[in-house]
Amino acid sequence: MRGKAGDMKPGSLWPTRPRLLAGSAFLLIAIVLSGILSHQNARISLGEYYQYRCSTGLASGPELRILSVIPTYAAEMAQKLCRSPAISEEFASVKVSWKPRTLLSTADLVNQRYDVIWNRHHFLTGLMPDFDEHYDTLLHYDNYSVFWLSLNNTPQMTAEYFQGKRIGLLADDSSHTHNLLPLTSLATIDTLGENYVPVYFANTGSLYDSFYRGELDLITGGLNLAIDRPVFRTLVDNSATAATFFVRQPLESPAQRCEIVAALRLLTQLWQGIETHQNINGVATHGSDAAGSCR
Amino acid sequence: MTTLSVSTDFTHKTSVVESRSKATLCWLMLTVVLSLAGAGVALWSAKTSLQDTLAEQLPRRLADALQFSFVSDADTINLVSNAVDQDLGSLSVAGRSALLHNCSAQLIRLLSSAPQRTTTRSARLLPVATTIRVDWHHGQSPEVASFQLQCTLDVPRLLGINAFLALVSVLLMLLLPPVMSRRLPWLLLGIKQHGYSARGLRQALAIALAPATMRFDHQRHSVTLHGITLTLPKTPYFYYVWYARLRLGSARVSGASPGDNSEGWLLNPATDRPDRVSATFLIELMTACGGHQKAINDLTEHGLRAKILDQNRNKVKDELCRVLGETLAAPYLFESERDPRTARYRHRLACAPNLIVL
Repeated sequence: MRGKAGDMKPGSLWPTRPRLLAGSAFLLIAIVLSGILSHQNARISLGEYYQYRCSTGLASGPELRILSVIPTYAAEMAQKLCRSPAISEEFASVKVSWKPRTLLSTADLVNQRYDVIWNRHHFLTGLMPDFDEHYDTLLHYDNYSVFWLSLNNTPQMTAEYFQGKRIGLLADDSSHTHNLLPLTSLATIDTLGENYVPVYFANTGSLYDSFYRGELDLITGGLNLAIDRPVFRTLVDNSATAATFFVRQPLESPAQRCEIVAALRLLTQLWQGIETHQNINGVATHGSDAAGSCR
Repeated sequence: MTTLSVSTDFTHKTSVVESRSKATLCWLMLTVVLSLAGAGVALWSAKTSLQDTLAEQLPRRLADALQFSFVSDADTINLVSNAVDQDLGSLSVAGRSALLHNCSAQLIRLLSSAPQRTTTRSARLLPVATTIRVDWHHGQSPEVASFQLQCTLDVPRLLGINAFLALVSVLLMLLLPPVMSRRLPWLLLGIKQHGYSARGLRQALAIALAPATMRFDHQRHSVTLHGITLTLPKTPYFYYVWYARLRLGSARVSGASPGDNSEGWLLNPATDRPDRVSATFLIELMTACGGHQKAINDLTEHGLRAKILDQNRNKVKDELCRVLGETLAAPYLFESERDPRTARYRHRLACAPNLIVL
């Protein structure tokens, strides 16, 4: 064949340079193959992050599982319990969980997946009617004060005042402070038939943030607010139950129960802050025999 | 391989060396390009697959863990950050080829407002690092968690794989196109002759894949070239056969030494001195195979004259070019050179003897 390899007659449908065509095809194939061979896949397994775990030093044994509501002091409580001799002689590890309250299931209660539970009594019996037959009350904080809070003026407990107001609520039926109490309060005064504007939030952080930014007229809350501006308050309930802790009945060692109570008392700081500021009677009180007999 | 390309390769040794160094350069460049692309793909795919996994699993987990952190406290963020970091330790990166080693991911920060965590940059040979961002929602507010992914690139393996791929593709590039460029024009010619119908395409393919031989049929005075059969007028046909015989070395020519003839050359007779010996062979051939009496008589009377020889070669050439086109006909036509002794032209078939079937 004379001439350059691949030269074609003019007017041909085919490319005049088969070498160029084939070359690009091989190049493309090489690039694709190289890409396929180079492709990497990352694998990772993620756990849940609403819990903190520490080990007591015991080689093998069960885990002491505490279900809190908030992450505050979770690590401190767990560490305190892990250091406790009474706990470490039976338990290999301690887990403090703050799994969202809404995720707590009947199965969790029936199977006693938690040794200690912080939640509302009515909520727990709602999940498991014979809850009291399996769990004892370990510690009880009450006389907690909840207020209507406004950045503009003192809330008036009248239907006219609440008309058209934007009210921040937590989208969590198990929340006392941000759902049950405000709705109860509104039901008693709102004769105009729910003429307020409820705004629901997924978490307390965004509820407060929105309130501080002035996007809400009213929210309910305690007294520990992270804001410099004056906040106008009207009392909703001065004897609200702040928190109740329940313990599995089979966990009956008084020494262990006392250690758990001591750890839970770290949370007292949350409510003492309110008292100190406002001088309102909200001191944590012991609500059970087990707690009362400690020390 | 066509005869021609082989002979060119051997006659131009410099171009062989040149094309070899060109191919080597091509191979090296392709290796570098593929390796760079491979390294990019490896890191990019590791990054995106980790990013996808995190984007799928992390937002819900973070939202759950930080739902009730009403004192948006640094302690809780730190606690969760540590737990996330611990889980990142379970990272494993794998692929069809293990191009990345010792991959580790670290959390840089969980929220944009959180302080940046100290990430360790290990003293690795050729580390590659990239940042991963995962969007999530803390309540209603959008947040971005950022991570650092670090790996060690296995350079020897990367280069090895891609050098091999580059070598194969350069070899294919060098070897296949000549084959393609030899077959393709025949395929097109076949399509031109037989049309685009299924049957036509089948015949065209048969032509493209046919051996490059020339096969003579004395009965039909036709010649089949690369699967295409041409019927020639009787007299030019026998001249064509005569050249083929010479090329095969199965005929001897007078007036030429055996050495001259070994390559199939036939010297044009001088105008004043016709070639009687060649004429005898031609007469024999034509008589045996039913040639035109007129042509036989002419040869008997005048011998083989240069004019007649030229005439018949030209007739063959015209017919082949008409059917095959000049390019495809060329290997089956005549090549010429000047005889140094007599200063006259001599001709022979360009086709290699091993492709001629009589």
